[in-house]
Amino acid sequence: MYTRIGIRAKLLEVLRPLLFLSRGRWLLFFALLMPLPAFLISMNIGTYPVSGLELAEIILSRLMGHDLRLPTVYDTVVFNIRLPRILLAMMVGAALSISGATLQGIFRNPLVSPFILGLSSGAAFGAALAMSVFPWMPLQIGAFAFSLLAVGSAYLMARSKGEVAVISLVLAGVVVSSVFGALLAIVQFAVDARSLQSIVYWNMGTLSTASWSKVEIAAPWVLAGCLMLIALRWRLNVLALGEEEARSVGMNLERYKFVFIVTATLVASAVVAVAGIIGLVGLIVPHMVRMVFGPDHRILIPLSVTVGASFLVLVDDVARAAFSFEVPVGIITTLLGAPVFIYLLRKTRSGGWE
Amino acid sequence: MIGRESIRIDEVSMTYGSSKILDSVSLSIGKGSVVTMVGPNGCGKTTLLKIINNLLKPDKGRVLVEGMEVNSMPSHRLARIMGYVPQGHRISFPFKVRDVVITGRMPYISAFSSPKREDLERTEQALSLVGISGLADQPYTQISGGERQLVMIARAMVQQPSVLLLDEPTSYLDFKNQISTLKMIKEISRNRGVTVVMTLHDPNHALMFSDEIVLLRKLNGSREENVIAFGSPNETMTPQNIQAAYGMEVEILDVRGRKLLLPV
Ligand SMILES: Nc1ncnc2c1ncn2[C@@H]1O[C@H](COP(=O)(O)OP(=O)(O)OP(=O)(O)O)[C@@H](O)[C@H]1O
Ligand SMILES: [Mg+2]
Repeated sequence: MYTRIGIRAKLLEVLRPLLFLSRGRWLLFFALLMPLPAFLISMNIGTYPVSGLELAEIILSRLMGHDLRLPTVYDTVVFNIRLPRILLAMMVGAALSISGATLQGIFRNPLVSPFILGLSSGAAFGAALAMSVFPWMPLQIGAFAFSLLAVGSAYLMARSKGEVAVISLVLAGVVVSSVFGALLAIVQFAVDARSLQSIVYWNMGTLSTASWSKVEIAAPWVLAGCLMLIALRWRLNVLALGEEEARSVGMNLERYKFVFIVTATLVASAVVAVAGIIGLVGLIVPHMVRMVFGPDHRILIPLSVTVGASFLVLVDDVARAAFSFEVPVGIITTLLGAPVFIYLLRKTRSGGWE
Repeated sequence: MIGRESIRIDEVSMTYGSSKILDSVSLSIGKGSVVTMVGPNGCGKTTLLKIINNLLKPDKGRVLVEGMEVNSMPSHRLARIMGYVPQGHRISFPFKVRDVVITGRMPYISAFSSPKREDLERTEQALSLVGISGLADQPYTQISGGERQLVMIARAMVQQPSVLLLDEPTSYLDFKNQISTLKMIKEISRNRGVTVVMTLHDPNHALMFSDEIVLLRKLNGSREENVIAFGSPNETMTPQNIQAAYGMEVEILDVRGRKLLLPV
């Protein structure tokens, strides 16, 4: 039975943690809400800057159907160009980060990223096939099927006696990547110049071709995958302690590994299919989150989504506005990610992650 | 307390590649007893513990725990009955000790949820039971090997097991902590009726803390059996049996009513 006082006490109990937040908690809130300021900043960047108020006005005028006081070009820029691009950038960033964080947990190594396992090469080959040889095959399906195939074969190659050694995994990923790279080269060699151009361009990883239809293609996969991984995130803590340790507390290891790998691959390949190969996001973002918040996946997984979304949309702002010409965002993330990778590599050697 | 059968090992055989490690081992372990497996390196102690915990499948034979066959039980049910502390353990990510211990709640937490308040409370209790509450916020990667062993014992305890399997729980511990940990294990067994099966290398520790000892030998292709003796400490740890297990001579001293094994 709830009395008024009971409700008030309950409310206080819920709100109390908010009132006495420690520094760490504030940081956590900031990281969770980061996509909002990142979104507003990104709206404001470009040839026609749109402030938060103007954005509200433009959206309202659409909803209410009344006239816009701003030039109509703003409406076009917001709805046809900037909004889909920003949403796509956020989705891609979130997806690559959560996928990286998940795979790192499963393989118990912070250097593992979806692309190390050959996902990108598989996707690139599948997408190329769909763009040229099998035009009846949807790009999304081609990229997804082949990225799953690539990751699956790397995993099976590295597996021996039920154990997946990290070094074998990395090597298997290298082999799978090379094989799909070679297959891709065959396709590129065989197709006409126009197809070749679109394959090469796709491979660079760019958000400049963002559109609502791309957002719509990737969104369901990313949304469903992120929800799944967020729901299962504590299980990653159990898995990250080691396979035997996970089994001895009753985890159905093979089932969970399967679910995690399929979900992480699905989420990443869905965005790779619409944005091409944007490198090292899945390595940088989880690493940054771990540096600040520690390795607990209960926090790492949701923050990978929010920090990943904010990270890529801000990097994409640089890609489209910092230079007189547009740079493919994949080039920037890869250049940014390389030092992080080297740092992690050295730290791993020194035993910090062992 | 010691009474009904808790674990039954039925003609278990295990071969790695071409080398036979366990040959038709049968043991019956009473509920609430502390049983120690002693034997030379490589004789198959860890292998047997893992078979009991269904981490390894034997080539032949079966293991029953509380009347149920371990390899036909759903994994979460087995994990509510049995906790396992591995011989040595390292991880890659610097999880806090508390977050490592709480993973023992796995069999009580449904797929899409995370630990709740009750799980946290049990974790704190286990940490203080093992005497490492002070380490709760330390990264697991930055504590000593002995401390990690205690963490893994706490992790097994939050499973609320009725059977506790420990693989050399004292191997990384100092002189004093070896004794205090073994005392703690024995107390857990006595106070909660938990069946303990562990491996130890020090025969004197085995003599001091076990209700029963299983003395094992390494198979050498002969027709010998793995189990040299299984019974009360005094019956098991005789100079002849030790000779059979290790090929080494020992003397038995009586010190203040306690037996002490001394290499000659
Ligand atoms: N995965 C494996 N593959 C092949 N042989 C193995 C494997 N695990 C163990 N062995 C072999 O089986 C034998 C028994 O190993 P086990 O680990 O059970 O011994 P142990 O009695 O626990 O030894 P220790 O006292 O050194 O811990 C050893 O000779 C070992 O070399
Ligand atoms: Mg062993």
